[in-house]
Amino acid sequence: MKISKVSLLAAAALTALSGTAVAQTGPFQYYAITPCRVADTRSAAYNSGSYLNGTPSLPSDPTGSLTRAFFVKGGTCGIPSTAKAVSVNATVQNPTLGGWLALWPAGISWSGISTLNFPAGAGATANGAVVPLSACTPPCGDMNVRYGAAGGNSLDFVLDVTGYFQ
Amino acid sequence: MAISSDLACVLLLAAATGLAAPAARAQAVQGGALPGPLPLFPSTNWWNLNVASAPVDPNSAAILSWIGLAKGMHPDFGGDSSPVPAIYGMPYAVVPGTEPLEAVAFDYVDESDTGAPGRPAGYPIPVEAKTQSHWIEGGYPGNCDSSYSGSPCRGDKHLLVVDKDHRILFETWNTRCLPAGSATCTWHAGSGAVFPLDSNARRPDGWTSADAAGLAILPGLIRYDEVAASAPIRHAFRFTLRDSNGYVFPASHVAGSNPNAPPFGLRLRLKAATDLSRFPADVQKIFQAMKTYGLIFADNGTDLYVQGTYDTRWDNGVLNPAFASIHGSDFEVVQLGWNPPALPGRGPMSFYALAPCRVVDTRTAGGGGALPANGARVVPVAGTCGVPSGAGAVAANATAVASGTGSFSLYPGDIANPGTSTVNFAAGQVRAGAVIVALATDGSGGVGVSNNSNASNHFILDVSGYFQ
Repeated sequence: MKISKVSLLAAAALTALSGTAVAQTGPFQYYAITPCRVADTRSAAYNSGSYLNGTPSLPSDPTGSLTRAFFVKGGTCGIPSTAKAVSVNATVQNPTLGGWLALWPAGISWSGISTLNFPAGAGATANGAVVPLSACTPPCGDMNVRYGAAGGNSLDFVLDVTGYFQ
Repeated sequence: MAISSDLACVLLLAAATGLAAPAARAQAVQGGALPGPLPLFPSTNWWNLNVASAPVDPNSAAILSWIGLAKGMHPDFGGDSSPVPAIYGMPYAVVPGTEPLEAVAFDYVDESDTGAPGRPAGYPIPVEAKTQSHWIEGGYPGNCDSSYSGSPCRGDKHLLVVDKDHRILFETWNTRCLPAGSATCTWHAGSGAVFPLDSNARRPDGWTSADAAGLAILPGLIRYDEVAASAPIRHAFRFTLRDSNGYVFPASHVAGSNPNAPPFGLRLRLKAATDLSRFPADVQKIFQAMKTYGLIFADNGTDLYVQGTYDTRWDNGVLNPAFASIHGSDFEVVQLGWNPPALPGRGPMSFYALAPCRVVDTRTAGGGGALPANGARVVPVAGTCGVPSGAGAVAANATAVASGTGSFSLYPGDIANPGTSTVNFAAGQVRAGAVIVALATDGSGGVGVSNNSNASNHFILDVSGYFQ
């Protein structure tokens, strides 16, 4: 069982995410926005330009080879290119197997963290998190997502942003 | 306030025949005065959103090419038609809060509202609409027989009713009173939707309303009274295209899958450079609103037909050529699904920790009771638990004590539900999720919470800090 280490209120602490240094330091200030959907694998309707919109469901990725990078900054949700981290609510939809989902900055390796855990057969499960962003700006992805489960299935992923730190 | 001509006729008849006047029944009025403030719905609602500076969609040119660059616009409204009692445009009724609620049997019951949140089931449809003309789109009485091919009263048969005292809009589609011809008929409709006028609640994703796109109809109609008034028109209009493909915000319902067609919810904006000086002042007002608020694609129909209310004062001799002179090439497509941050980065703010504190628990006395099915509430946060009035956002945990499956959306209390979600749950579960959410800036310092569920569910909000 993986336990989320992405603390809601400790974005700065994520500099200690892994041995691979994230080139971000604080202190950062918070900017609230109207909650805004940046990614939804079920629908092309959402508007940030994130590469995930309307894409196939996320495949289970126990080996780490199927990480997907997408971008949060620069879309119509109004996250500026200077943002260093975002406050998000992540949702997984319709997993057939229990598992975990991780969000972390693009450009670095997954260090074993998770953002959200869910049981088999859960219709939808959500959690809030603060996730740092890479320095990339679109079309370069600034956030990575992957998901793992004991066996191979797929699930849908939705990400809403409520504000950013810079 | 003028007495409607129908009532005047009834009174004259009563006087002429020596009958006692019936006990006073508060009057339902065709096209009556709408309850203010206008435009309908909060100023932050998508119908009232200023899109003059919204970004243009990358596919704008291709979408307009599909619509037809040389195609002219058409005013899909007017006054009386023929034969009597046919009409152009959509009638609407304004009723008092005492109007009796009528049961309506829906064909699409799963996506229809049985009544208004917190009110008894039923729709306050005026009894006159059963047997009299001009209450329902098309103009024919509710009990007109539309069951056979060639019936004059076939059509969309929308019925729009505003309860002015409770401030609730009721809308139905394909509205019939059965059995046909009976004065004691009962109401049937394809679908029905109820919209509290002070709420920005959007239909659940996938749901229709009385309109194909899942939107309310009345707020998107061009009304004669607002065109004749001195103030500018401050809302978008409803329009149709020949086909559709899915939907984008603010729409919620699919009624087409033509891959070449645009989605419901698409918004056209008349280009700012369009010269309006050649039009009469009242037409200029309509077209100016198309520049500032745009047109929202709400139903499959005829390309660039824009809907308005039934009103015998409309002059289609002026409107038709004026609309026809505006072409597809005069528009641009606003970025699909555009839902601007009402708070474009409110900050910078620093974090202040609090002793974790429960703001609300709807299971307890004073907690306001469970959130009603598909209902929303604004929970005051600033001023409680040590959150100061100047706080801009809070760090919180939202918990659902769920009797049904669904999700909660949390958002600043002074805006529409933006269609995001915070915590999901299934029937019988207790589920929690962390969230940082901005507070309303309208003085309430509140958090809006929408219960996206067909069941009423309990809600708990705990705060652990705030941003200021």
